[in-house]
Amino acid sequence: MSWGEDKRMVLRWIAGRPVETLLLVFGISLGIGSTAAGIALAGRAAEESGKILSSTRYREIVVTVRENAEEMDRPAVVRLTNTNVILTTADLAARGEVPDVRNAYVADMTNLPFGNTPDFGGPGGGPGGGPGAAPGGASTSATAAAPGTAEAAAPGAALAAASGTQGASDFAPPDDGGMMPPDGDGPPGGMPEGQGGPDGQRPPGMEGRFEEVALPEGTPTPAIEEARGYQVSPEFFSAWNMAAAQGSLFTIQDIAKGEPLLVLGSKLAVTIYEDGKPLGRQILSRRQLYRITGILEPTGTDYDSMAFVPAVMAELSGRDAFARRFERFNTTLHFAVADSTRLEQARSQLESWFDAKYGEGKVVITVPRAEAEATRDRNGRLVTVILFLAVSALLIAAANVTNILFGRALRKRRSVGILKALGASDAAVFRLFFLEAALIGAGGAVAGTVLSVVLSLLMQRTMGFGGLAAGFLALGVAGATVLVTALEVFPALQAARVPAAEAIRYE
Amino acid sequence: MIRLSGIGKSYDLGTVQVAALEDVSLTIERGEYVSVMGPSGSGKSTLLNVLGILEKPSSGKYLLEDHDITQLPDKEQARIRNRHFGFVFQSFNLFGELSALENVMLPMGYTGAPFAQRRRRAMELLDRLGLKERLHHLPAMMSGGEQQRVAIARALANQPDLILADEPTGNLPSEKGEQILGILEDLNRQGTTVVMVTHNDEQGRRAPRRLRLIDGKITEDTGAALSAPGAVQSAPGADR
Repeated sequence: MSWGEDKRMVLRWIAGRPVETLLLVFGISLGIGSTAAGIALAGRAAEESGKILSSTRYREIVVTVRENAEEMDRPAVVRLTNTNVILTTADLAARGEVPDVRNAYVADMTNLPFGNTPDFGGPGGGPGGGPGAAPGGASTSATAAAPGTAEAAAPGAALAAASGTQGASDFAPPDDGGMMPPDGDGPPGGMPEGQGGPDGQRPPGMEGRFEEVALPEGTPTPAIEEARGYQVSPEFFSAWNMAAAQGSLFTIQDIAKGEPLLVLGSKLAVTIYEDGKPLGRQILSRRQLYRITGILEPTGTDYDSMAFVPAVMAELSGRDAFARRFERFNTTLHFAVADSTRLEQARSQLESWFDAKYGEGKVVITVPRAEAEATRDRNGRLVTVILFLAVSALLIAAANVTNILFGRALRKRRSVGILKALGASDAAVFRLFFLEAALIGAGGAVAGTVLSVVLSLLMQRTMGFGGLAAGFLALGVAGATVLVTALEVFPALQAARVPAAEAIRYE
Repeated sequence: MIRLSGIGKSYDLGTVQVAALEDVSLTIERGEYVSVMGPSGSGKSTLLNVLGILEKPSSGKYLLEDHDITQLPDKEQARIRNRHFGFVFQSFNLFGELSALENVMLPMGYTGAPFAQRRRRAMELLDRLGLKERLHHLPAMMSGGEQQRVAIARALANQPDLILADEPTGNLPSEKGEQILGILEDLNRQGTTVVMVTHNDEQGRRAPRRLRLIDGKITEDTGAALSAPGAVQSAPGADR
């Protein structure tokens, strides 16, 4: 198709009505933008809820004691004096009565500060400050410090203080010296860092309360200060389909022995030490020496940057039980079913088991899936409404555009007649008017694409589905553009049908 | 060249059928200069529309060079209008968004002629019609006489065999109308067939062959007495 003067004329029609044209482009861009964003939102919502609901978490039944569920609302005194149910690992035996349950385990969030930070000491001397510490100087000072701290708890503080400052000033390479806070970094090998910390602030007489534990000679300091993680029983791993990439996971026997073991998520395994080789090493946390026995395969979840320690939860009783509960120690049990459709049945079976053991209503049984499904359904309705409004905007815009284009075609009847008299076929006239519509539509599509990205990010952030859904957006823009373009065909068809005799009609 | 036989054209106005043309038979030979006269509503314009294939007759036969063209598809009819006919309208009907040059170039676009060729030919035509200084003017910036000359240049763009002029001087002062008439007569002298609808008896009588229409019927036809190229013997007032 040649670019004749008739098409130049169409461009001037468009340019000759800048306000109308801009309004049209704006309207189309709103319609296309909001529809594309709505489709992207719906797509993301479907993806997300599918992904989330397939997670083990939503095949779980969570059993906890009444106080845990309600303690936020209760006065502290009531909590302290209430002697109620204590759930223990022994209660995981409930699974025996519920065939649908595949895994039963405990999993409690915990924080593992590395190094021997005293609970009250604050961040006085994070061992993680040691990135600059040179291994050579460190091991030398560790050799000097280790014997004293390992055996004699009380003098440890003074000794550590001395060797800590010494370590910094004497053993560190000259170029690092200036960067190290004088009290911040004990020698990486040997020092329980609490003592490298604000020694002057430690209340006299408190030292004896802290059992000092030392790392074996030559063990490097972690490169990070702490890790988030879970205290879990072994079935946690199988419930979440987690397997050891290196080393081994802990067993029920390990838990029984109460051995401090540590399993690392794949990302954490890389970052925890500078050299990236944590397996088999010992690490200090909460005044205990944990042995790193395993590294998990990547899961693509947050678990990859977490650490897992065995849950310590024997049958507790009496004062111990009280103390544990006071610490809000583990009183939550997890039961995962294999088939999420069996959740409700399993829940009621578990409920009867616990009711029989502890009395009616003493434990609280929740099914996270129900809540997640409710959230999903609510999101689904919300997304449907948004999509409906977005598509309405598109239809209104498209109807308006079509309407205005019909008006234009009507005003141009005489021009069409002249064009036909001069030799334009119906098809040529159609192409001409469709060109005008398509140019406006294309302008709207371009502006709409920009708008859709902005709108989409905004909507998704509001609804909590992060990330740009480029595929869905492209689909939405394409679909909406096709719709607008399809509607633009009709005014062009009408223009093409204007009779040629219109040219000669007298006004 | 053109042979109409038993052409009728009626408009359906809801319940009433209005006959604009009734049983019109007419032969126009190449090189003729025909004026069509008659009172308002006599069917002059309808006849012109039918001749120019702008309207389909309701009945009868239209042979152009012995081909029945009323049954041709739209695309073919458009092609014939484009290559063989040139239209000149009472109200000029130039495109207001296009310059004089572009208006003249436009019909050549449908032949697929390249831009440079369109432009060269359009400049030639406008030059011939004394509009060399007006090439890039928009119609609104030109006088009626100038606009009609642009329209004639546009009608001539594809070297038509037949010029169909619908009251070409109707919107012009008499002096300018005389000029336009002169151009048409000149074109006829060079061999182009001209059919001109006019209200103006004096102008109509200057044509070698005169048709009179009343109520859709031809009531007077002076006949193709002088049917040869250069049918117009003298052209008083023709300025070229």
